[in-house]
Order: sequence, then C-alpha cells, then structure tokens
Amino acid sequence: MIDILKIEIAKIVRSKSFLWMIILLGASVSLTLLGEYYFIVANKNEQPNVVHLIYSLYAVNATTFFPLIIAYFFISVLNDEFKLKTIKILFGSIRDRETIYMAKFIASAVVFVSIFSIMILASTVLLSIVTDINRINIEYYAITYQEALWRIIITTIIGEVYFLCIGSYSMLIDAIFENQGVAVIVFFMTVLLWSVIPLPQWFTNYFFLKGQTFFAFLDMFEFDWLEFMKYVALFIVYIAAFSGIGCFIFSKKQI
Amino acid sequence: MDKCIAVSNVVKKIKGKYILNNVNFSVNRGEIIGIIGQNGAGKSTLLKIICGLSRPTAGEVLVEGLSITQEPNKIMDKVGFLIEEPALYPYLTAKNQLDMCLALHRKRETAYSDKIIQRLGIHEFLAEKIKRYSSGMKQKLGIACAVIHNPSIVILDEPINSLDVTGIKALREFIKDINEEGKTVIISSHILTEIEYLCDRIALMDKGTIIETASVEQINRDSISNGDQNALEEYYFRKVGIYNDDRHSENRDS
Repeated sequence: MIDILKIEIAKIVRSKSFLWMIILLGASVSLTLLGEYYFIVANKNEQPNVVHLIYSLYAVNATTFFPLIIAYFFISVLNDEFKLKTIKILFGSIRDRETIYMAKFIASAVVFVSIFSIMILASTVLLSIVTDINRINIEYYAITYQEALWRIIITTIIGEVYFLCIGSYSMLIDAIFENQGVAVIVFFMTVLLWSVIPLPQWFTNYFFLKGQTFFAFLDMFEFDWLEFMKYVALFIVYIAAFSGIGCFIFSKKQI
Repeated sequence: MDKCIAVSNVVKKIKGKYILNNVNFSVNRGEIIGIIGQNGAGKSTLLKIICGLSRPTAGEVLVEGLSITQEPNKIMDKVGFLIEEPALYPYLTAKNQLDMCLALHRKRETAYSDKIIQRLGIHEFLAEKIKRYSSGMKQKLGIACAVIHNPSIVILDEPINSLDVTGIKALREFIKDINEEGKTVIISSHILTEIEYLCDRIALMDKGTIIETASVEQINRDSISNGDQNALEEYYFRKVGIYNDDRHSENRDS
C-alpha cells in the first residue's frame, strides 16, 4: 500500500493538479479575511480578533465554496485516469483494485490536508500579528490566546475530517459516472437539495452534510467534547462507507 | 503443444448486442499469433478479456492455467499489453512512467528493463516529458510499458499504429527478438502484410467469432496451389466470404 501511495502522491505532485486548489483556496481565504477585517473595523467600531476572523472564514466558505473546490480536486484525481485511459495500466498491474482506489483517496487526502493546514496556519499566524492577541473574546467572554489557538486547531481538525468526507463522497460519484462534469454536477445537486428540501430531523441529524456547521465549535462558551466526538465518529463512518462502496464499484469496472 | 491461453465459449454482450459470440481458441506457448478481422469484428474486446480488463458475459479464459476472472492478480504479472492507444501520463517523463509500471508489478529496474529501453530507442528521450513526444515515440513507450516487467505473454493491439517505416522495421525486429526469448506474442492488426511477416499462426475474426485459425505456412501453401498473389489477403477475403455465405444459408434454412 505504501509504495502505491507514494506513486499516487507523486502523480498528483507532478501533474500539478493541486495548484489551482491552492489558488482558489488561497484567494477565498485571503478575500474573506480581508473583507471581514475591514468590515469589523469600519462598521462595528471594535477590534477584530483571530477567533472571530477564522470563524468568519469558515462560516462564509464551509457551506459551498470549500466543498466545491475539494470535491473538484478529489474528482479530478480519479477522473484523470479515465480521461487519459491510464486506468488500463493500473488495472493491468498485480495490485488489487481496492488498494489502488484507497491509495488514490489517501494520496488526495494527504495533499489536501497538507495544503489546507498550511493555509489555516499561515492565516492564524498572520492574524495573530495584525490583531491584538491579548484581547480575544467570544461575545463578552474573554479567552486566552492559548485557548484561542487550541480552539482553532480543534475546529480545523474537525473541518478537515468533514472535508475528507466530502472528498470520499465525490470520489465515489466519479467512480460511478467516470465523468468529471457529471460528478461535479451530482455533487453540487446534493449540496443544493440538502439546503432546499425539508428533511426529517432524524435524517438531518445523521447526514454527512450536517458537518457544514462544524465551525460552531469555535465559539462555544464551553467546548462540548461529546458533541465533537459524535461529529468525528459520524464523518469517519461516512468516509468508511463511501470509500467501501467506491472500492467495490472500482473493482467491478470494465474497460 | 503446450497451451498458455485457452479461450472457451466466450460470449460478450453489451447493451443486448453480441460483441463476441462463442469464441473458442487457444495460444501455444512461444508462438506469435495474429488476430485479423475488420473493424468491429471484436478483436480488441477479445484481447481486453484475455488481459482481464473486461469480463466475459459467459465462457472462460485460462491464462497459464489460471482463470482470468478468478485470479486476475496472479495472471497480471505474466501478461503485458498495449490495447488501443498507449496509456501514458503526459506530465511524467518516460523514466517516471517506466519506473511506475515496474513498481506496479513490484519490480525495479533491471538489466532486462534497460535492454528494452535501448532496443526500442527510448533511452535518448528518457528525461523528456511524455507530452513532448511524437505519436510514434508514444507508441514505442506504450510497447515498452507493456513488456518492461518481463511478462511471458505479450498482447499488442494494432502495435504499428503511428509508427513510420523505420519504426515498423524496428518493431518487427523487436517482436521477433522477444519471441526468441520465449515470450508468446498475440498481435492484432489491419495490416495483413505485417501479420504475415511476423506470425506463426493466424486467427481470423468476423462478427464476434473466430471463424478459422491456420498456420501462415499452410496459408502460403494453399495460396501457391490456388495461384494467389497476396496469400493472406486472398485467404482473408475467401474465408470471410465463405463464412458469411454459410451464415446466410444457415439463417435462410432456420
């Protein structure tokens, strides 16, 4: 598995397919943070703080923009094999198709998590420099800089697990349709229908897109560990289920 | 003769249409067998099934005594193929691509892989990105990818596509060489002269089935007795014509 994983990571790096993800994520992160910073300064007559700004970053982008970028990245990693017909090389090797599929997913996950973590880390460092780190508050409740950092780290981790769930779902769609455009449309429709169609509570509580509001953990007065663990467990179950179905479909593919 | 591939009663049906219909044939170890037939005869589909890229709707394919549907991973190490156009990553260099092909078979660069690279004339362009390759070079690299892991059976679908005269000559010699090393080679092509030159035996496909297999020697003998100029071409048209006539009369009878 490790050597296949290395091959898949090398392919992503050499194809430079991650570059536009850096550009789009970077643009949305910097525009959101700049916009929010000046909005607070201009309208609220108060000093922006690092927790508030990172919260705004997630609140603005986590519902649609980030998921779309991430879905497109995961879809393109798998779909390139169908488009270039290089899937023949992979299927003609002595490796299990399930191993190949999982290696593709894990390689994409490693690349995405690395880029996203660096981006959030860089934003946090920059915001820590330009804002007053001695006066951080959630509403009227003051917290220390250490606590702010800890909350950002925890929220980013759960956010990344949620985004990996999005990645595994989008890769599954592409394994079914073998078409980048169709897969992106199906993914977008899923997000759209989730927001538009009224669903019963028991369903919405356990559907993976519930993770769109993961950033709520950032400004909880008291951090709810039980709720946090429930979210993480739910996303992991979904990642396992989507990857399992994806592996099954991929292993049955014919050329 | 020791058989390394046995295809029995293979049927392939896609969207209600029979692409392959009851195909039976076998390949002897160490021979070069050519599959000829018109476009849509089912040559590529048959080769894809032998390679394990596609599954038959019915029937069985045994490669080195192992079922391609039940033990594909064991067979993949023994088979190398170039089906339709070469499958290459344009953003990789030829060296990266060949290393990847070896790694996928849990192998590393050896004297054999170096020899293949030299023989196909890729050594001069190893560090170059594949997107800058000409179509002929891509074809050669595709063939190198098919044989780099030293398989005992090599399947080449239209291998002389995109090759110039020199490339075709070099490929002919290359195929003869790997056959002399003991590899079994299956080639499909539209170019009958190439098949005639390279192959020991020919399987003639039409409308999803193999209508006849014969040795090139036998075809040549028959053509001399019939006074034909182009042995394989005359043989091809004669057999396909006869086969179609037989089928028409069968259909009329039924």
